[in-house]
Amino acid sequence: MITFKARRRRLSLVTLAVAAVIIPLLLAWSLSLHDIAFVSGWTLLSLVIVLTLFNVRKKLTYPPLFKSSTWLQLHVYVGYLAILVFFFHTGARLPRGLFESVLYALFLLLALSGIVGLYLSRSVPNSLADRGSEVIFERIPRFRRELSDRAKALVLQSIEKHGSSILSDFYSMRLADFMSRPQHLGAHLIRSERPRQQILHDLEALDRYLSESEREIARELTSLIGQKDDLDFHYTRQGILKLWLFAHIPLTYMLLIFLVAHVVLVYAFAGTIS
Amino acid sequence: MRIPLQQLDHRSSSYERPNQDWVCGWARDGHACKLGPDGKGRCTAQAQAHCAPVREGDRWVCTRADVFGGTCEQGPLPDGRCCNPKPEQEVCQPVRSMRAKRALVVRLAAMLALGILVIGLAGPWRLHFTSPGELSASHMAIQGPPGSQNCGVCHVSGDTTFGGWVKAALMSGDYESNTAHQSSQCLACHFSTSTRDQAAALRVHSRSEEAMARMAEKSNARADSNAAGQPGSGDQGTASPGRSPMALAGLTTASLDLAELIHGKPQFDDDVIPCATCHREHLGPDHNMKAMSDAKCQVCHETRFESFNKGHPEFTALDHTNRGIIFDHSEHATRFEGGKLKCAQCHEADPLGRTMLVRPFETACEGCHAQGSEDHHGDAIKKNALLVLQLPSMEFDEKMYWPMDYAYAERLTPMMTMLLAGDDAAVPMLKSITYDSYGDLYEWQLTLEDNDETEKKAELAQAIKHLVKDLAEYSDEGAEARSQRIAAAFDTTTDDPAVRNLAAELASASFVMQMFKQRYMPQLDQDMKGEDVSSDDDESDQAQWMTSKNMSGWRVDSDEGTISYRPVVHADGLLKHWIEAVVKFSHRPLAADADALAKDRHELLTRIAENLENDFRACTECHSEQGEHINWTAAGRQYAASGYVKFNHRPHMAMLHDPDNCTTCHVLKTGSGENMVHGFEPHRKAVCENCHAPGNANNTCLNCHQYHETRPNASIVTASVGQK
Repeated sequence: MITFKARRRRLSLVTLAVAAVIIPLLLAWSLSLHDIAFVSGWTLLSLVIVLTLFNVRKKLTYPPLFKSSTWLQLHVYVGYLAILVFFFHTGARLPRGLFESVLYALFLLLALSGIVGLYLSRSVPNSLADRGSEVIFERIPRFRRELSDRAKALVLQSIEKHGSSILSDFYSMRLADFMSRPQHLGAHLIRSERPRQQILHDLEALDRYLSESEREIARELTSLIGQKDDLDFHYTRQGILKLWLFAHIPLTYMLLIFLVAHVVLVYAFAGTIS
Repeated sequence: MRIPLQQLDHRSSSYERPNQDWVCGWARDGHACKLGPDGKGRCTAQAQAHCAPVREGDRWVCTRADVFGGTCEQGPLPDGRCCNPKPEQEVCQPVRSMRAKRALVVRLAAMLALGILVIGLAGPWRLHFTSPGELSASHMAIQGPPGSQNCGVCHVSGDTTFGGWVKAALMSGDYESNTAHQSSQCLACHFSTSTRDQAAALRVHSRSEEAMARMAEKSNARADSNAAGQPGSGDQGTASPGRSPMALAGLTTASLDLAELIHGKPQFDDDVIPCATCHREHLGPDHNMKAMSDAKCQVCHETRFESFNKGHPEFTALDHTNRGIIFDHSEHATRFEGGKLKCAQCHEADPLGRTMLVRPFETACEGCHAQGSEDHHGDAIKKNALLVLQLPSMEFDEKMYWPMDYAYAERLTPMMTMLLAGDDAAVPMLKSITYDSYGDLYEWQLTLEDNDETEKKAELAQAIKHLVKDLAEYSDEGAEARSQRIAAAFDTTTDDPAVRNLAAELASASFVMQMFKQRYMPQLDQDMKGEDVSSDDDESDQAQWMTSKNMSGWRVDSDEGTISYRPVVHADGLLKHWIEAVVKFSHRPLAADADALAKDRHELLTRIAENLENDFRACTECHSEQGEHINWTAAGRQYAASGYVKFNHRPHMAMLHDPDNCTTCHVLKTGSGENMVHGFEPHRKAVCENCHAPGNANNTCLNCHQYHETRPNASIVTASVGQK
C-alpha cells in the first residue's frame, strides 16, 4: 500500500509536470502575438470548474466516478495548478479597477481558504487521534449530556451518602457550567490544556477536606472532567474542519458568478487577437 | 475509569443524519429524539408517541417500533386507538443542520455577489465599476478628469448598457468590429499626418505582405552570405544563418522554437494586427505601452538569435533607397586628415539629439564650393546659361510675320520644346523634329521641302508666336494660358504642384518675355488677330541683363535673339522646379488608355529627361534622382537606414570626449564604390557591444529598433538644417 508521503510526492510531481507543460504552452501562445490572457483565462476557468466538480461529486451517489478521496486529491493539486495559472493570467500584477479587485480578492481568498482547509484536514485528524476516543461530531452533544448527567449523579450521591457539600459546591461553582456546554474552545484551537489543568488542580485542592469515599467520587469526577475536556477538544477541532467550508464554498460560488461577468466584460471590451 | 461513549452497534448507536436539512431541537443538549424532524422542519415527537395498532384475532396489538420505546405496557385501547395521550419526548423547535446552514450561507453569498453585480453594472457608475484601471500617462487626456469615464472613445461597448455588453460578448461579429473599432480609434490620433501611414500602420511592420516577403528573402540571403564568410560576417557566434545553431540556443530561442512548433508562424486576418496586440492599456500611468520582449520581437522573423550580444547579425551596408545628397566622405579624406574639415562643420544634431543633420549649403558647402571658386560646379551654368527661348531660323514660302534677322536657332531648347508640347497642334511637328530630324531644325526643313510639306514651317512659326504671346501676357488669362500649356505638356492638371511651381516661375519672368516680344515681335498682337503687319520692325541691338531683384538671371540677348537664364544663387527656384517637373512626369508611366497625342508628348518628355543630367550636371552632381523625385536635401536617418532602426546620437556623443571623435563609429573607407555608405565602412557591432551588453547598457531589440516604419505622429525629421 502506498504511503501518504509517497502519494503526496507522486502527485506533486504530476502537478509540476502538468504545470511544466501548461506554462510553456501559454508562454508559446503569448509569443505568437495572441493575447495570452484569453488562453490563460479560459484555462483558469476550466480549472475552476474542475475544482467545483468536487463539490458536485460529493453530492452525487451515482454514477460512481472514482472515490471521493481521489476527487479530493484531484481537487488539491488542480487547485495548486489553478493558483499558478492565476498568477500567470494576472501577470502577477495587482488589479487597478474595482471589479477586477473584487475578482482578484475573491480568488485569493478562495485559494487561501482552500490552503487553510487542506492544512486543517491534514493536521486536525492527527491531533484528534492524540486526545480521547474517536467520536462522531453529531453525537458529541449526547455524550456531553451523558457525562454531565453522570457527574451530577455522582455529586448527588456524595450529598446523600456523606452529607457533605464540598463536592456539590465545587460542582455548582466550577463543574456545572463546564459539563453542560462546550468550554475553552480557544484553548483547544491552540491545543492548550491549561484550563483543564486548572479545573483538576482546583479539584485536587479539595482533596484534604474529603473523606475516603468522597475521594473515590472525586477521582471519578476527575475522569469525567478529562473525558469532557477531550470531548470539547474534538468538538472544537472537528468543528473547524466543518467551519472552514463556510468560507470556501460560498467564495466558490461568488467567484463563479463574478467570473461569468468577467468573461462578458472581456469579450465586450477586448480589442486583440483571442 | 473512563465511561465508554461511542456505541457502534446498530441497536445502541443512534442513527445520525448530517445530510438532512433539519435536526432535532434538543440535539444541542444531547436529548435528540431518534427520528428527528421531518423534511420540512416540523417536530415528529407527537407522531413518534403514537402507533397504529393492528388487530390480531380479537385483540389489538401495539406496533410502536423499538426505536420509539417499543410496545407500550398498556397497549391499544379496546376500540383499537393508541393509548398514548402525549409523546414521551417534548415537542421541540427543529433547527437547521450544519450542512443546511452552510447551504444557506452559500445562497446568501451568491445573492450578495449577484446583488453587487446588479448594483455595479446597472447603475450609471457601471463604467467606473468595471474599469480595469487607469490609462497610461500619454492617454490621460482621453480618460478625462477623475470621475469621468470616456470608455466610448475607444470601445464600442463603452456607450452601451450591460445588455449591450452581453450581446457584444456573444456575437463574434461584434467582437471583431470592436477590435477594428479600437484600432481605428487609435489611428484617429496616431499616424494622422498621413493617410498612407494610417492605412499601413496596422500591417506587419507597416508593410504589405509582399513587401515583407521580399524583406525576409533579403534577410535570409544576407544571413546565408554571412554564413559563407563573406564580408560583413561576424566573428564568434554572430554567424547565424536562418535558424539559430544549437550553440546559440538559450531561453529566447528555445521559447521561439517551442512557439513555432506548437502554433506555427503568427497568422493575422487580412494581414492586420490590432494595435492592442502589442500596446496594452489600463495598466496605470507608469506603464510603458511600447515595451515588448526580445522574444516577441523575433517571433515572426526567419533569422532568430538569443540576444544582441549572442547571435545578432553583423551590421551590413545600408540600403540606400534614398541617396540624398551625393557626397562621398572618402573622397574628402585628405581634408579630414589635414584637420581643415571637421564633422561638426557640416553636421549638427537635431533639437532632440537623435539625428545628425546636414547643415545648409551656405554653411556646409559654400565655404569651398562658392560661386567663382574652382570647385563650384555651378560655374558651368554661369558660363553656359540655360537657354529658354530662341526663335528658330526658318524660311517661308508665303508671307510670314517673323523676325528673320534675329531668328538664329538651329535647335529647339528643351524648355521651349516642353512649352510647345502644350499646344496640341505642335506636338506632331515636335516629334518629327526631335526624332526624325534628331532635333536639327535645318534638316527638318529640308525634309519638309522634300516631302512637299513646307506649310508645316508656317505652322511651327505660328505655334511659337502663340507661345511668345502666352509667355509675355501679364494678365490672369496669360497666367491661365501658361498653366494650361504646361499641364497639357505634362499630361496632368493645372492643380499639380509641379505645374503650379513652374507656372509661377514663368509668371515672374513675364516682364522679360514682354521685352522679348516688344523687341522681336512688336506687332505680334495684331498679327495674331489677323491684321496686316509690317515686316520691318524697329529693333534695338543692345544686349541687356535683367538684374532687378525679381528678374535676376534673366537676359534678353539682342545679338542672339534669345531669352536665357542664369541662376545666381544656389537652390535656384526655376531650375529646381523645371528639373522636378521633367523628372516627375517623365518617370510617370503612361496610362494604358493613353491616346496617340499623349504618347507623343511622353516620348518628347522622355527625350528631354534623357538629356537632363547632362544639361544640369551642376545640380545632379550632388542631388540624386530617385524615381519621380530629386533629392534636394540630405537623406534623413529614417531614410538612410532601415526605417526600423533608431539611434540617438546625443548620449553617445556625450561619451565621446573629443567632439570630433565621430570616427569611433564612422570609419572612413578607402577607395570608392557604389555600395559604400557615403564613403564609410558599415558600422561594427563590436563597437556597440562595448557598452550594450548584459549588465551594462540596454541591449534589447527596442533599444535600437522600432516596429513601425514611421513613428506615430512624429513629424519627419528634416534631413538638413534650414534647408531650402
